Amino acid sequence: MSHRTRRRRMYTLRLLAAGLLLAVAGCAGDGAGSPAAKEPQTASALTIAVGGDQGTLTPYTYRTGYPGYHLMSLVFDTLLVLDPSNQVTPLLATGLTTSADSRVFTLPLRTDVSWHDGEAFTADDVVFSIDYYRKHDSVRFASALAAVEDVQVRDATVVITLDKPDPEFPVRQLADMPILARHVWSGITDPQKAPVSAAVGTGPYRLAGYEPERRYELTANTAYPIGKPRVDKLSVSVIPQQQTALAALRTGEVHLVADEVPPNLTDQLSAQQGVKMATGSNFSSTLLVFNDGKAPFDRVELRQAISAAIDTRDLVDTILLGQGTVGSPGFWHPEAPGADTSLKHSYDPAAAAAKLDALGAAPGADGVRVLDGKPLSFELLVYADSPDRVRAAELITEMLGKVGVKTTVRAMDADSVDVKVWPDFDVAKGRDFDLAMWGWSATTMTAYTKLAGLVATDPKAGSLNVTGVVDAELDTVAKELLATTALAERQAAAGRLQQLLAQKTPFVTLYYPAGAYAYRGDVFAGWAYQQGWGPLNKNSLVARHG
Amino acid sequence: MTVASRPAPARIGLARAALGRAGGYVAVFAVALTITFLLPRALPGGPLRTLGGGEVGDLDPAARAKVVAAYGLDQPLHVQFGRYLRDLIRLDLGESFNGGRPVVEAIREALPWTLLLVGTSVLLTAAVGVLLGVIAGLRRGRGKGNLLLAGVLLFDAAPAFWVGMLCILFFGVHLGVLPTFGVTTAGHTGLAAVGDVASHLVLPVGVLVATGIGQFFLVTRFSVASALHAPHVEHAHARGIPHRRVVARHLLRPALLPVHTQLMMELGWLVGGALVVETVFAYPGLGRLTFDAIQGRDYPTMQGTFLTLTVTVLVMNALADLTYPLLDPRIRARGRS
Amino acid sequence: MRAGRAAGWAGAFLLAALAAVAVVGPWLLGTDGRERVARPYEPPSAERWLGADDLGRDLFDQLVIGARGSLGIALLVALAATAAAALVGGVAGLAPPWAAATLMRIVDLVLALPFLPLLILAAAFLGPGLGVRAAVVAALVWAGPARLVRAGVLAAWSRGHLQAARAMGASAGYLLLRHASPVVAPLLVPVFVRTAMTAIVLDASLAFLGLGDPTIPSWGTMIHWASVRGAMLSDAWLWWALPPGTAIVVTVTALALVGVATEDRLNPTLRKDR
Repeated sequence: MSHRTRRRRMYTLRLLAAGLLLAVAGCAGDGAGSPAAKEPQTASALTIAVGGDQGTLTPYTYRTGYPGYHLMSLVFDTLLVLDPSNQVTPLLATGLTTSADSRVFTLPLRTDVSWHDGEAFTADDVVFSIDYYRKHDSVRFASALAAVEDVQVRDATVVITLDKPDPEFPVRQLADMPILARHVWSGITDPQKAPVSAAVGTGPYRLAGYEPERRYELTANTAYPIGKPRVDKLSVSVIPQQQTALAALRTGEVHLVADEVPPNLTDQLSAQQGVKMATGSNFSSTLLVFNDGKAPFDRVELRQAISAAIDTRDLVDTILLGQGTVGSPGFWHPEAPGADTSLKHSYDPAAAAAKLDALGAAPGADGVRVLDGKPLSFELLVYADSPDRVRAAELITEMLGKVGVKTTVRAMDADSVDVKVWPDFDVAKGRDFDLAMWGWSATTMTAYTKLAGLVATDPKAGSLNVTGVVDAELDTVAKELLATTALAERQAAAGRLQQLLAQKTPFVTLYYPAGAYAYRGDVFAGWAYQQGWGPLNKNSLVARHG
Repeated sequence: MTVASRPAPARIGLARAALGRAGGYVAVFAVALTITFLLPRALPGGPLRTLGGGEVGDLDPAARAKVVAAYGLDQPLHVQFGRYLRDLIRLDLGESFNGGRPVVEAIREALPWTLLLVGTSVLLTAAVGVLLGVIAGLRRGRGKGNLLLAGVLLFDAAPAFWVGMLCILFFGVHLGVLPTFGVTTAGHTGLAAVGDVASHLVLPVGVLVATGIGQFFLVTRFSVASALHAPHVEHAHARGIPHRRVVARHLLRPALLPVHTQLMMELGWLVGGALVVETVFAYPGLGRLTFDAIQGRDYPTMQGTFLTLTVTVLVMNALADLTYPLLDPRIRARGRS
Repeated sequence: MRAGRAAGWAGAFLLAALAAVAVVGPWLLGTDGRERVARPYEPPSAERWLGADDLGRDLFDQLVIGARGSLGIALLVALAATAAAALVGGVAGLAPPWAAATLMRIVDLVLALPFLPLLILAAAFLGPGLGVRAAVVAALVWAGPARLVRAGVLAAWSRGHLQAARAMGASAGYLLLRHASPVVAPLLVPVFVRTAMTAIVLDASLAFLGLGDPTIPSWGTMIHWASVRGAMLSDAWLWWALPPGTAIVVTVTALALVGVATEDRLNPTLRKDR
């Protein structure tokens, strides 16, 4: 009996050893890809891997952010749409006329569009959608609609009038707000619990199947009049572990991994046969935030000194292997519209030390500086599940240590950090931290009002002011920005605000990672990278007519 | 001490013991129920991000308050608890904060996959572990037994996610013989669909078995080795009963007692504990459901999954206790003597 | 028999070596492993045996320093959990039925508690650090072994001499010390070993799920970083994920060898072999 067992075991061992060797060889040797010239722009079936469930893909129940919004917008259409370079282009509306005071928006609508269930799309649906969002205001599409004074319909043309000027209304609202079908949604009184059957849109793909936490099946809407869907069947699979998703990409089970590829793997992956990378900018930001209302961070000089002690170039080179952009001290991504590209972070540890000396913060016995009798020793909060930010926190600890400021990294569950930095997501509720690694999603870079939102002291206007900064100059410029009526004026005010941010340093903008997404170019190569976001969007999956 | 000397009629004693035991389980269940309600709410943060979406900062406070109120989260705790209990009686576990799907439905969808994965794994693990344990126990201290021991321990020592990743690399990517993720591939019907599910099951089950047999192996090996020289076994040998029969009748039965405990424990525990393997292989079981609910502070789903886990563990433990006497009559005798 | 003892000694030797590494290794290296000394992702070289991690920190240094974290948590958890399991399981095996039942229901409750949220809760309210982590893990892993210990005591009961002692009027405490402990003690060795093993593997699994503290140096943390940086998909798994994984396997196997050898030695029914 035992003899047989041993033989079997030996065999198993040999198999295992061979397996390990082969796996190594496989990792090293798959590289020589044939230079396949064909780059298919259409596909019969495609599988996309996403990191988690994205909700039921209705405007009230999708998972916000990338890729949830972009999946939802394959099913639902907006009046206007942003093209790959984030310019506003027509979609359900054939054009847009804006009055000189940015209050009246006239949108002629297409008349050849129908809902997935066959009903015709009309101006009524647009009016209904605006009313519905205003009534059920638990989604972001509702916030800019508060200013709507009047909605008129004349010969398939919708005219929206606001009670105050909003030059960014087209980009932040009309190109963002999915249009709902009146005949479907008028019966839904609790949209937070909208069933999957409410995912009836006018978009290029219809939701054919949804297995929660597992899979979405989308099929091409062949009757789509605006363009031709490039893929017949789109399957979206939930794969929580990115390594598994990338392995499945190599085996060809998956054709696009919706989450970004870590910088160190981009070369390796693009060397694989059939695998290609879609690269571009990513407007999400990584910041070091201070609790500006709490001593000693209420001192501008201290914040400036800390900022000068941080080598953001080193962060980008080390953590992102150079595949990212150094943070602008004015917060705004240099490639986002309206950026002041002259603003540059200055890394100067000597100047930082000099500033600290000037403040009277002399080093104590242990090398940690003491200011007003208290050592400059702080806890630095960071999401434990965000590897880049944890690494950045570790490097910042090292950098600040050199100028005599001590930080201790405390990595915690994301919600535990949020509770201390942004309790109830309401800046009026205060904050309880010293330093934290923070970041804003790409959406923040789409509207100048958000720039004001970072620093305004009024909690309504400054809804993103997590640092709790109170500064008269910042407040003034933020107010000016919000009061502008023309887009050019608003952009100018945004420029002034960026300069002031660089000077006041309410937080340190560290970097913006570059976006890199892996896909199977041998199966479908039509991915169009939308700057700031990524390749998974309507532009990629629809060939627009005309 | 008291029970041992009390000459009570056996039937009444047993009935009373059963009643007392049932009472104990009810008490534990009540405490567990309260914990499953309180624990989600004790976690730092809240469900606002899940309820209001990632751009929750864009909502004004009034809208936020409305969202919270819509789920009754503005009510005092005892009111929420009362409602939880009331719904529970009707077997209604509420609706997920993430899209409003009924929690019962979510669990009903995840549970079969978990049972398939865990059931297959535990049974295989127990079978293989016990078999190897018996072999090693009979040969304890001899070269072959020790080699077997070392081999099993080596496998058992490896973290499951680590083995899982290596398996995906080797069987999925390199050999390309097995799917790397999920439970099904779209588009199969009939017999092909069964084969499809089975092929998706191979790697996760393989990993769970490989990294899990150690528990059963060690326990079995120990009890077999202990029983080898027990008086009754030596008597049996002395009476000239064939070795094979001695092993089967006099050795295995008492040796399986701790294995039985282990099995029940494992089953209960694994229903919630296959999380790591579910994560590696994107397997949509109860572990993932629980984990995602925790991450999203989805109170109703957390309550539902915690409750499922609790009930499973309690039932398994109760079963272990109740079936104990069946395996070892001498324990039953203790209550009556 | 000699082979079994040899395996036990081999395990003990390995453990001693690992413990020595954990104690004096960091001191010999003269670094805390946090200095950036190479390019990020540098492959191994004659100078840097295991290359560097994503920040350019020496992986060999981390392996040595990680021993302290991993063995530390294993030791702490195993000590605490074994003590708890022995006490509760032993008492439940001998106490009057109502007390035993109460104890076992408490054990059931602990077994039934959802583990992950408790961990998050403890980390948020008790603060970070190895001690808290070990305490939480120990508080949750003692319950299973307690059932095993009780099962062992009940089995021992069936052997007769406990009953005999009780019939002669021995107190529970005397029973526990004089008669049950020789039965329970060999059970505790595997319990200690199992909890130590569980603690190391659990620690690594929590790190893998993103629930660990990725700044505490341990083997689990190393695998976590290898895994989030995609080392499994490149050659780097050979020098980044394999060594800490192997270290875990070696430690756990060594523990198991020692456990099994001691268990055999302590088991009164096995003494005839010698």
